[in-house]
Amino acid sequence: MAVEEVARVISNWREADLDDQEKAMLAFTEKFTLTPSQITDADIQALRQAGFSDEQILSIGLGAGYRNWVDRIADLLGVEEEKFDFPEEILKAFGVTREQLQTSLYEDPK
Amino acid sequence: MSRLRMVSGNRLEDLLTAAPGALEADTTMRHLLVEQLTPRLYSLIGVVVAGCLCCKDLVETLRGPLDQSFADHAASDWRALALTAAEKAVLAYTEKGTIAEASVRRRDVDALRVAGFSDKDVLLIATTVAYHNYAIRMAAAFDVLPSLCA
Repeated sequence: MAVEEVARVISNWREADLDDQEKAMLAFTEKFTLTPSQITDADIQALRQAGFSDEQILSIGLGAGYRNWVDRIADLLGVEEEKFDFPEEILKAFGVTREQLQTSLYEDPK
Repeated sequence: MSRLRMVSGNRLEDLLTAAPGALEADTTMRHLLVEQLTPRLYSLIGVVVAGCLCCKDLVETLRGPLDQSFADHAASDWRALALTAAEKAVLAYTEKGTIAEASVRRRDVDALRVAGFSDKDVLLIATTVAYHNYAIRMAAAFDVLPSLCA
């Protein structure tokens, strides 16, 4: 996926060039992240209608759950998950500066 | 009963059994956190995360050694409870780490240090907050109960 497209997905995935199945997956992921208590049978059914098997739906949940776990640890400790030189477009889409990404809250300031 | 057809039980463990390796990873992490953080603090964090995510129906399972009424109160308004300063610092960090994680700053970590926590403790607390944010979302999404405290 091109950097510009990744930035578009981060900023507004609904307007990104994604197929219906990917959009169904991201709709579930968004609800899973922001309002998990509002997920109903209808949300699972929407994934099935998009062509996902129950095994794949579990994998989508685990993937979203894992990101909610690991990204949160990174936010809570102010650490980078991995050394990666994010392109400017990605930083802009997330609304962060390179300096913010490279500042750890966990270690004492140097 | 889970929302997924191939899962027969009603617990997160039953769900994870359907994904190779997931149950083992979850169990190992959970036991490590409970053992190193204390069951009370582990459960307090879980109950407050459930409250922040509007999943109060899961509090009974998450409460561990906490009294049910105390746990319900913690999920609704932990600031009103008689907690130690250290516990309040942990729950403030938990709340921010759940509903506004991108706004956590050095001062939030420093508040834990001032409350007496070492950097290793901070790592355990952050990992526990993150773990509950994963586990409670999975439970809510697939209509299962989260794992017990230990």
